[in-house]
Amino acid sequence: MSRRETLSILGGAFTAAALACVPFLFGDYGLSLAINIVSYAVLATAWSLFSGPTRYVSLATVAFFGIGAYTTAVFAETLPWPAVLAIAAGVGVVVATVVGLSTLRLSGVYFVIFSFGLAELVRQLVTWWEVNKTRTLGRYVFTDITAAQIYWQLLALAVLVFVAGFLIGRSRLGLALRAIGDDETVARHTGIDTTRAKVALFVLSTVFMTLTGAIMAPRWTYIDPAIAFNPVVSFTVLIMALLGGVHRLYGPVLGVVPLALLFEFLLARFPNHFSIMVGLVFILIVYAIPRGIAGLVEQAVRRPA
Amino acid sequence: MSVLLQVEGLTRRFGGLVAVDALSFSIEPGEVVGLLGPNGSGKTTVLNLLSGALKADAGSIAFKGQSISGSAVHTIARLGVARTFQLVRPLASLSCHDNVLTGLAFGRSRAWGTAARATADALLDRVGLGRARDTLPGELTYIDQKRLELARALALQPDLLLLDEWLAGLNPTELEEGIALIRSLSGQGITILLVEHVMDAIRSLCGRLLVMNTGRLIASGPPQQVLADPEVVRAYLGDDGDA
Repeated sequence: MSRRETLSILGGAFTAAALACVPFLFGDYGLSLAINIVSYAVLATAWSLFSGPTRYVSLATVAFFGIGAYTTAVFAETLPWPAVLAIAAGVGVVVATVVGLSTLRLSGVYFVIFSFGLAELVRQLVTWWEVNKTRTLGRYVFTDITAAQIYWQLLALAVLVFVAGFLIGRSRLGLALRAIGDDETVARHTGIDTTRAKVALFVLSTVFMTLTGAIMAPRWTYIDPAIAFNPVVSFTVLIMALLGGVHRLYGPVLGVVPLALLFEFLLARFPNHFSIMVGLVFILIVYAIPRGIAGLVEQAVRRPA
Repeated sequence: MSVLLQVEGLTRRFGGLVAVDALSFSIEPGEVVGLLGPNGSGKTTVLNLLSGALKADAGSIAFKGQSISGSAVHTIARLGVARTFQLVRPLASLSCHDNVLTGLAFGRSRAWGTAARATADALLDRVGLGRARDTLPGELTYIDQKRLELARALALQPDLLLLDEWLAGLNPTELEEGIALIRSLSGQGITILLVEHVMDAIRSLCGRLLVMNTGRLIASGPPQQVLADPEVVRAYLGDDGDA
């Protein structure tokens, strides 16, 4: 292990420990903002775990997030909490495997469109089921989980996603994914089973999204398909990851923090023009900083002024 | 084992065009075979069929006695068939070292860790790229990118190496080095099938030539004999009457 890696591990552990103190230091508003930021940090990091190296841009984030949220809504009152999380992860794995095997042969824009369609499809299926079978369209989520507990769970999940990303980066799988991102044909010719590598990482990445949804659900008290499967979540995650930079593990977080704060501000000040402003921000980011903040940081380090 | 590669009735169509038409040939272990033919005669398609990048419409390919027609590209690569591409295709975001490491990590050696890194360095040295270990392929010259691609192919520890115009575009000095390198690979026991237009290389390297025209095999045999074959001359230069 190189010195730089040791330093990043120590830095990460210290940051996580410091962040764990947030619920004791700030009030309710601060905690709710922190929950928002950490949940997006998990989503954006998990997103770029797969989409960064392979360059398969996925808009299916909310499909998995929503599946997790609904798992909690259905089981939280009857089952112990760890079982709920295990079911959420299990459902996420099954859906991601089926979706991965059937779609990761698509490339470029076809995959983007499919992934967006998938989120809508899942939302419509859940809506249909709720209307026709259970005869409800909304569900109440009653648990005794506190906001601080949600925050700590998300933080633990964030640590896990970083550890997973760190280990993958050092593994054979990480090398395979970078090769796939560069040239899939060549990757196959060097003996890489590209389908297996892509599906494995897609599944891993989406399990984190599913768990985020499951952990976040108690925050809402009431959920319906429009809330749980809101496509804005997918786009937000995408913007955050792109702003931060997807070619470094720490990149997405650099995009999450400023954008989460900005969106909070925009929602409070301009609730009616929120979507337009988010769109403008997206365009600006793609044109102005295509390699993300992480790219700018590296450039600055490499060429000191 | 007397035959390394056995191809029978191999056919591939693109729409109405028959790019490879009922091609049959075999290659014995240790041979260096040149695959020749005018542009568009189907040579690269043959390599793509052998490596699995394209599926055949008809016919069979057996490698070391095992059928590989219809096998996935990565399966064929792991069995010991490596290739280079006509237009070089290095993995652009990976250093030279990591480019070679892919072949080691996923090829038949499944090597990883310190040993794999040392082997990757050795392979880079072997093709003359030892100094460029941490360089990105985009910063290399054309010949060096070709060397890199060769090192990546060698990392698969192939029994059969498919070279698609690997010597094209080199200057005379580089050509000499390239020929020497291929000869040393052959000396190491690797069987080589090369698509090539550079006659000097063909004469000095190949023990046998296969000549294709419009998807069919029109000649096969030792270089002197094949290159003097009237039908081969006609394929390249046209009929006497045309001249």
